[in-house]
Amino acid sequence: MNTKKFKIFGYSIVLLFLLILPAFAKGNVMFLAVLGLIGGIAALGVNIFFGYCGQVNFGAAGFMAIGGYCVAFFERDLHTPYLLGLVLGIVASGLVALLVSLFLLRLRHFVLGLGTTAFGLAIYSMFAKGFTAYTHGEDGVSLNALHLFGIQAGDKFFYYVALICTILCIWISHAVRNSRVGRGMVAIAENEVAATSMGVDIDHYLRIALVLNGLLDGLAGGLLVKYLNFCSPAHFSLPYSILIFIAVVVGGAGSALGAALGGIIMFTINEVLTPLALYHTLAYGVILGAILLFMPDGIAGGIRTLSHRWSGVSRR
Amino acid sequence: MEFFLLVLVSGISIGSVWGLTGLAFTAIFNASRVINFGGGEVAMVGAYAGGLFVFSGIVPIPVGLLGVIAMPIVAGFFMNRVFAEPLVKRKAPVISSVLATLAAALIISGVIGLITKFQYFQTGLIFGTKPIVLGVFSISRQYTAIIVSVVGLAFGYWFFLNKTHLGLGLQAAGIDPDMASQVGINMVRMRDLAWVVSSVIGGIAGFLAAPLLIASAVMGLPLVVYGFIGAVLGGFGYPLATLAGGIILGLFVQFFTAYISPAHTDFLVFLALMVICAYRPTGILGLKMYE
Repeated sequence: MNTKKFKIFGYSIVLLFLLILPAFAKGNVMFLAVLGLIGGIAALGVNIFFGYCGQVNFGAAGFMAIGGYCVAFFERDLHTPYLLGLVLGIVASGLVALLVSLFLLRLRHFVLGLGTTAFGLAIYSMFAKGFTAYTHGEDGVSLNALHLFGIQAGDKFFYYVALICTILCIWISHAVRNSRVGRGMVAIAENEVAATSMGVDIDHYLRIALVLNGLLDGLAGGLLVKYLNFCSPAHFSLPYSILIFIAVVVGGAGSALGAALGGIIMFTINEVLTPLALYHTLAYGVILGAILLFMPDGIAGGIRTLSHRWSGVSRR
Repeated sequence: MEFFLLVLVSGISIGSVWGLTGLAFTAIFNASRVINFGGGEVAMVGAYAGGLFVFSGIVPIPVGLLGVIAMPIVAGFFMNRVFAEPLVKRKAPVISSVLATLAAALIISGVIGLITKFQYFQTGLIFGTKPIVLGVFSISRQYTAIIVSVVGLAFGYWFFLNKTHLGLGLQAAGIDPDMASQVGINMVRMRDLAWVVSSVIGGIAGFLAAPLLIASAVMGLPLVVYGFIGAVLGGFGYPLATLAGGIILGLFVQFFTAYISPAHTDFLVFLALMVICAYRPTGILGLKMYE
């Protein structure tokens, strides 16, 4: 079997599994799956900025918060349908990304990490403490359950919506990566000076990457609050930004499928460990440390090596 | 007036603690270009070591103080040798080492959290509760101790870095590792030394600040964020500028909270930081930043 056939075979099995999962899932498996997929979307957003362009983003939850609170605001205060709030939330998140890119993209490396952390914390404290008239602070905003044609949308509906969105986001990531812009982004990650001398407009490409990051994470936030029927700052705090970032590293930075997988894994672990809250921090540390030390290219890199070995292609 | 002075002193004290955390960053950054996300955790270890050795009264206070210095060094050594150093050796990108320190920080925070069940803990005040009275104004001994020791540590570190042979070697290790090892500087030992120096500074910061901040297993991350903000405000890589940046940040936060609006402080601090980062990326003092 050559590598390409092997790949298609592998992807079809995974897709088939994902499609029929709701048929035999029991208990709260569906709940975990939906949250996992939403985490996957969030990680895909960060993957464009970190995985492709190599720029640190510790503020992803800030974009999610904008998407989520937009949904909450439009539903609670303006009584518009969910879909409108979601679309406006995604747009707002993208616009905020565009706005902060004016400031943040003057920074690089770890200082950019600090800048994005500051962005995430600014958004968090804005919703948690600053404008409590609209956001009800730490108490959060309850939303109505989503109804379709008079029937309440359940786990399965959200599962398929999240699955479609995840696949769509993976497709967007691939399309970006294989375009002129995407090649420019990877060139920036490799070497900024070399990229500039080849005519890559660094600021422009990084701005595109940050806006895409904002759009995808806004989508993730908008889906999350409606699925939980609850929007509170607790879901958008700094630990969540770090969780999303860890997810990208664990999955394999620079690989869209890897990032999605990393998001699914980390968000599922995050939910499974909720009753064992004491072990959260330790578990993240051990996972991140193990990946960095033993699997530097993340799970995607590990799978790539394995599949090359199985399909008879010698390791480079 | 008294309220103003109170805010001023508390701003300087909390700012010095942030400045000291920033100094701990600087020590490692100057030698290896790695940003240590575990800086806050090292400070937390210092705070807990203080609770364990100094205030519990199981050992004499001088021995306890030695413990306060030793425990953070152990934590720092663990972070360096298990996480940062293997990646540096493998010549992985610096960002991997930085993330590895984040992993180490999460592990230390997680282990201490498990031991203490993430409860807050109250440490004593090492110099007693009686304030120092200066005319109409009285100042807490803890604040005085913090400010004095912070200034002492910062100058000591500045002297060590710029005026001693070892300190210059540390700087050389960061500026050009290949050249430094060519002239006979042992890079591994230099990085170890940097982590030890950083851990001592961070541990003392945590020990002194434990009564000010709420000491708990999760106190590390906010300390890292504020220490880092202070360091960038002042000028990253410069010890005294880092300290100044921390104090400026502390004053800003305390005055804003006291006089304008506590609810909007964080939002405006981070917003201001974004703008300052963007327009003065070398810090408000405008020093030349390391590459």
